[in-house]
Amino acid sequence: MRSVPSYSRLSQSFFTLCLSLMLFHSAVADEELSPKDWLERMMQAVQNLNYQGTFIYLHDNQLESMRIAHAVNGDRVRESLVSLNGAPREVIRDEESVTCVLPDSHEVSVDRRTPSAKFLNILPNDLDQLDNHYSFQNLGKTRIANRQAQVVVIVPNDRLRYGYRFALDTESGLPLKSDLLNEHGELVEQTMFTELEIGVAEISELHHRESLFTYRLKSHPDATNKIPLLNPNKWNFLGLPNGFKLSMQHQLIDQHNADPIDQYVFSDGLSSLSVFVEPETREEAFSGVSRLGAINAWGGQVHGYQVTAVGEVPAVTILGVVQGMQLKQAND
Amino acid sequence: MTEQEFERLSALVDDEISGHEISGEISKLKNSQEGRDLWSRYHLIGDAMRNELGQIHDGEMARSISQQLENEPVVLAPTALKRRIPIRKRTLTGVAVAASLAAVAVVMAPQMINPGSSEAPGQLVSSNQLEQRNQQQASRTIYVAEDGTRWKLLKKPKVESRLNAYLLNHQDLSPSSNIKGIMPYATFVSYDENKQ
Repeated sequence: MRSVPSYSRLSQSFFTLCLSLMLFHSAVADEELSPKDWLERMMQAVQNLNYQGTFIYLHDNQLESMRIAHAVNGDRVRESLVSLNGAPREVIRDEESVTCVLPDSHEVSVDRRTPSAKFLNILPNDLDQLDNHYSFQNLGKTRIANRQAQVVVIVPNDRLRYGYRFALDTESGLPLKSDLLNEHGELVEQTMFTELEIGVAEISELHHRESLFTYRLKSHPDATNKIPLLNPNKWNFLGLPNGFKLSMQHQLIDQHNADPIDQYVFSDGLSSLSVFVEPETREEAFSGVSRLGAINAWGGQVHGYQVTAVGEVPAVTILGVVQGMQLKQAND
Repeated sequence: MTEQEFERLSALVDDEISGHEISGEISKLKNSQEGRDLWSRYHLIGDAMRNELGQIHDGEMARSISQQLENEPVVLAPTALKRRIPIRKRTLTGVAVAASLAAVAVVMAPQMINPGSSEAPGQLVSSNQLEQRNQQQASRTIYVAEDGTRWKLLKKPKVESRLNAYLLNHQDLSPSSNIKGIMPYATFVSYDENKQ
């Protein structure tokens, strides 16, 4: 039995409490952040910080390493991604354009980013609108690239969209590791930094431009620099998969083809897919289903039009959208 | 917690409590989050004083472990597994969807695809072909070249480049691109072993 005077115990307890408060001040501050707070922090960090580093990319049982750089200079943002395996490939993106260089085949370039691209930016408030389709959880801490990280997951409520698991740098909020989980809860794509520098970013000019042919799809702004709606009443999309809405539609110009292409973007606020509609004139049209990493695609003919749908969503979701396409005869 | 409770907890941590009182104190701990938090802090302080802290110390370890135990199965097998979504029947108006449903099975079971097989490029995969592939998979004893960044089931460069162009346009407008920055473009930068 103990018979220690309570005074000494009390003072010891007080001392330990004070010490623990000091020790845990930072940990408690992290812990107080909700999963959505963490995700907001991540979005801010991804867009606003200078950083560069090397990460590994795992998909379809294939492992690769890449170098990423993100440079913010005033209002200008420039980012690059370069493969470190095999033939060098790279993507450079700024506010105006995205350029992909695939030296073994050709260059794919989108000359202009659409002015309305910001339309889909997820603002902090918008995370709440995802509550119907996803739940958000903090899953404790881990260590990646020799940095402390907070694990945050976005779990889909049904099989129509993918789930995300992020390990976020507790210091900066940058995603040190990103996992994409398919409708069966299986990992389909993983990226993980092995080395990361924050506050530094060097982006070189494009290499490997020789003997490339350029393939361009431009959006087509009108005089007011807005994207016109092409045949806004032409198609009905009936019975869209739960939660998906038409986010935007615009017209693309294909320099090799006089006919414009309609792009319809559907999104639940996080997951999205695009449906491209063009007249059925191409010799080699994509028909059937295909997959690239976590991306699914469907191509086929609908009412005499060539339709191609792509998105980082399960194949059933893509089929759900194209199945509901109906031509509006009255307004044609 | 009362002053006396602080005292008894501290005594428990320091192993200064009599044997028959331990189980009573432990069951109190089970029912008190505050008590458990304090318990882990007392231990941390003790460790710190004895210089026994590891290089990485996570003060919330106990909580995060129990939280992970609670949450992990949910993440690895999302609730979707419990709730089967009934496939809504739709009229297939003019869409050549029916034929492609067979091909969806291929997409759903990506690991079953033998990338080295030489079916007609860009065609829909019939269920017969799928069976053949599965048989090949079963009898295969050697490793095949990995599929790289090529679109599955496509062997037409022009169609592929067009699909890439579509995907680029899509990525630019995708909300998840905004979350992950340029990372989604890793798909394009990805190295294709088959092309070497």
